[in-house]
Amino acid sequence: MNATNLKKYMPYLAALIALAYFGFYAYTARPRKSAPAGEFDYYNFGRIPVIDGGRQKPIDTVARSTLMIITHRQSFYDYDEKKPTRHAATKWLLDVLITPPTSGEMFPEVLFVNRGADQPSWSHKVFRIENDELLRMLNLEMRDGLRYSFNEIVFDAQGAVRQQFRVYLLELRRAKQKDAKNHDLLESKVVELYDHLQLMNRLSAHMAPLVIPNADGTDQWKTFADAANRFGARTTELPDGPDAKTYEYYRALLQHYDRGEKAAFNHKLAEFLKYLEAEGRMGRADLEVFFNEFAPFYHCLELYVVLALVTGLSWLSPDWSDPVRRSAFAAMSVTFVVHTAGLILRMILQERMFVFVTNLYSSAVFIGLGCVFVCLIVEWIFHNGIAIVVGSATGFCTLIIAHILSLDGDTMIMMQAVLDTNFWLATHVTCITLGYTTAFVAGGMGIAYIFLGLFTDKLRGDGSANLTRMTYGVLCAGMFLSFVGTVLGGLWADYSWGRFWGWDPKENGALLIVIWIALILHARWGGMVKHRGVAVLSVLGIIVTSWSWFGTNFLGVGLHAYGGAKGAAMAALILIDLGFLAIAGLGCLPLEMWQSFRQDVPAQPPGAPAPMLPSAPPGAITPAAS
Amino acid sequence: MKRAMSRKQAAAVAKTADTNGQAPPVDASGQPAPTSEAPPAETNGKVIAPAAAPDAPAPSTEPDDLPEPTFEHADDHPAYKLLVMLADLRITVVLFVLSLLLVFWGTLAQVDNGVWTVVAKYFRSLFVFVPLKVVFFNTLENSDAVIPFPGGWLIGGAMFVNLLAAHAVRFQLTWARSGILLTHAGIIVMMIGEVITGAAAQEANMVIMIGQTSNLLVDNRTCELAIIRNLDDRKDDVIAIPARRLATGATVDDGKLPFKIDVEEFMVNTKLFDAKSKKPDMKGFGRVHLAEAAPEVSGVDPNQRVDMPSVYLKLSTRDGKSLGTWLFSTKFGEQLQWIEVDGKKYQIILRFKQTSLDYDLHLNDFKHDLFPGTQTPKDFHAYVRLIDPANNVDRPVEIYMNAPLYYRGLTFYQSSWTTDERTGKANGTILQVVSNPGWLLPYISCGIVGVGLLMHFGLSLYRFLERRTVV
Repeated sequence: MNATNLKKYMPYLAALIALAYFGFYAYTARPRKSAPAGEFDYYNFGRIPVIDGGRQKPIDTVARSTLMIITHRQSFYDYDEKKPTRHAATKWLLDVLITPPTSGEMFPEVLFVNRGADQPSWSHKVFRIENDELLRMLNLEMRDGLRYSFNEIVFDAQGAVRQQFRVYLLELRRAKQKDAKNHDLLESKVVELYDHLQLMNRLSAHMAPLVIPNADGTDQWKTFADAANRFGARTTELPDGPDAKTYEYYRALLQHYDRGEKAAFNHKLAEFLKYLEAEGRMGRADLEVFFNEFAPFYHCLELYVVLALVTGLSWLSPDWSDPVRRSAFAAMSVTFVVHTAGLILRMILQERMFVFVTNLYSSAVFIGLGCVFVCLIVEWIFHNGIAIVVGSATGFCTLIIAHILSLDGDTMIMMQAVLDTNFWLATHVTCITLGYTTAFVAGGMGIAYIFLGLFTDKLRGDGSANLTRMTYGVLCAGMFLSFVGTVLGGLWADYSWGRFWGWDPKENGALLIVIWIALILHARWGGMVKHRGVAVLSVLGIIVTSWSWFGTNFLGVGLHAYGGAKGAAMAALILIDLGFLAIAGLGCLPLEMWQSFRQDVPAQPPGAPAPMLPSAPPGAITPAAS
Repeated sequence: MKRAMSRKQAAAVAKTADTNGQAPPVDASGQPAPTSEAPPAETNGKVIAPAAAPDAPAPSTEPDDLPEPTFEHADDHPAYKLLVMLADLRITVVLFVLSLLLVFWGTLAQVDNGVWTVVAKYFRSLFVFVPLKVVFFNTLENSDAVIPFPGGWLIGGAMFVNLLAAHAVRFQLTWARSGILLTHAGIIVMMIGEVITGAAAQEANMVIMIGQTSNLLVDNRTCELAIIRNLDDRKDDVIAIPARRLATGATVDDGKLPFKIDVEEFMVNTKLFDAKSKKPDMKGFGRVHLAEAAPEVSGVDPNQRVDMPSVYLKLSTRDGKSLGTWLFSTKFGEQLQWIEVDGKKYQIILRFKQTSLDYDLHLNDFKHDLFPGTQTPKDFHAYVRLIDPANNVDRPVEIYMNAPLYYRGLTFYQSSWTTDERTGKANGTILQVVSNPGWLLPYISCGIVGVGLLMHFGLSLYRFLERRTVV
């Protein structure tokens, strides 16, 4: 195939590659009948429905979200062998479930082999400790991945509790006596580690999740520990009913697992799942397990960063930039479809159609989707590749934020009663989040303007006006969305508690975005700013928007609490915003320093001292008057 | 200044003349074109002409006594010049910057103050004195230094004038302008709505225990000192002194009162201790309780508690005889303190401002569900009986989240609940009761502005895309 043909068919090829990429991961996540011989069927164990955090979900989600909190991954690695092998979250969970709890919880320990400190779950290196002071306190060497096992943290080689751990417990007691708001960084990390240990311990003690359904069919489920107290170690004469039946299966599974009986475990599991299906209790568990395993947003994230880099690099070669741009457009469209499908799957799982956003995590995912959508439209109109870079870069950044937010655990939490109304969630929240989206896209275009103008020739000629037109169009959409979104929020408040506008921090944050966009548009209409000014103001708009999105959450944080978990997040936000401020500052550099606007441009009137940008007609999307 | 204005106008006139006879050039924004300070610039040999100014005054805005208004006339008329000055978009942008700062500071101020204090100080005021601490994003420690800044009423008012002037100067009834016109009309409706809300909206709480009946509205944002005298078994004589007259250092000397009041200290929020008072003339509860000022409940506090005010008062008879120092606190709840003046007994209490309805609500039951295994509320449900004999109403009502009761100009929202201290179970409901004559305006405004923006940006986009296809 020659270069011309390649250029012609490249978009199709790119779309195919993207499709194949997602297809591969969807295939590996597919439901399967049984495990390979000689292995525990971890995948199907994950399908067992339980209630945790107020909603019914597969036990796989419990395992993953717990691991996400303590180890920042949805799986874990065995480092003891030469080559680290990846294990499913459900394997970790099963190992934890057969471990006796470490302190005082009532539990029929007789069920399990007593191994002392030699518990399999205690040797999994899953506890992530990144604070070097805490590592020093525990006398743990800093290693790659920063993940440590329960044994390493608590016991010495002889199986006795380490002196350092006792010191840690003393520190913990001291920190617990203080108000969490006043914790410094070390104290908050000390408490955090304890919370993580407790999280595992609660699972070991079977105090969570709720696995035993209520005999009368209501959602007041019981934990396995409750059921064990009730039914005891009896194997016969259990009463008839879903609770006793489930208890029996679940206990048998744990016993088989504890004894390492793979075939018996898999057989019992298949029987259990068949029983659950017959009872109609699976709900959407299977779909959720597939969704967890597929992890669509994570793979979208990977493709976005590739697209942003490849398209950006292609500008170096004028010959290839156009075919690459068209290919990137095709691949980005495929990614967009998968991104959308992922959100739709989420809505199905939460049984909330058209409610894209239910919490901070999903707002990040949705903003990413919105950015990509807006940029696809802009690219479709302008064909210059800038929107591809901006869209995939913003998509990437927001999905990274979503990933960080998912470290808090389950991403599909239940809504407080006052928020639990699909109509307002679907209208107000969607609008306001799309408003954020447009502000971020406009800001991304502003950044593109500044960097392309400073370091390349891309803004010569029509480039500058075109990019400003793109920004302007996005800002107009942003004006509409954030205004309507903000007001709809007020109407919801009026409808729910009779106060249209209460001047509370979140409302004010939304209002700031509206005012900011209105400011840019009016300054533009009044000729106070031109191309470059719109770009700089749009970059500053990112700061305003990030304040509204995240900053208001940090308001209650005291000054001296920069060290705490929230404080660290706040410091990160401030740092990032300072970065945007610096970029906006770059945009204010004198024009002779801009590659695109240097004086050696032949069209510049000679002797004009550092002219402003070519003045454009008012309203950036009016083309030059003929 | 005067000259500069004239020249600018003249330039606009000249440009308008250029395009006379052609289809009226309308810029995408529908807003005035940039002032013609920047000369036409050339880029790549292409001349980008400065746009024609659509802000040339339309004849319709001129007074009737000018039959054929020319632009020279308009330019000379001092009222018109003033209008042009007021309509300047630079003022708009400055006002946006000011409002941005005000809203931002008004948010930061809520870390130390309650939201209602901030609303009164920042947003419903002409001027606000912003503490330096807030100005510098709460990074400074507390100090008394403040900077004066225009408050919400002032900025809002200025925006209002600027907006009206702009439309007076640039009024054009064309399709291209109609979007902008609608949008701004909607904004004005919203501003009016906020003014009405600020002036006339009322909020209060109503607490009803299960099995009990109430008609009492309590506004726990303001308190009052009530002086009550029993006239007979069924009638009381009540004099209520609003909190704003009880500022520290104030004196209340009113003929209706049986005694003179000197306010020693008023505390917006209080910590109460059990302690013997050291003051010899302390009377009543103050002998065994000590009140200390507590910080105001922060507007960003996730569990919004209520400020509990207290006041130390020196009471004396008209002829100057001291009646001692008294402590009154909302923390004492409904406990009254007795004082005897001239042989008459009075009961005194500092309480949240109360009003009573002329109909009753009876709470039959209250349900409060959590999501299984969590503390997240799933549903609150108040089963209420509405009893209004004067209007022949006696019907059961369910009030729950997002389903309030609307009755005779008031709206009752399920807001919170009370818990039994021993069992920890819900034993009563707290309803939020609101009356706001301006409640409809934001709905109208939202619709108008939404349509306006859609029209405006939609038309701009349509024209832009159309031109592209032509090219």
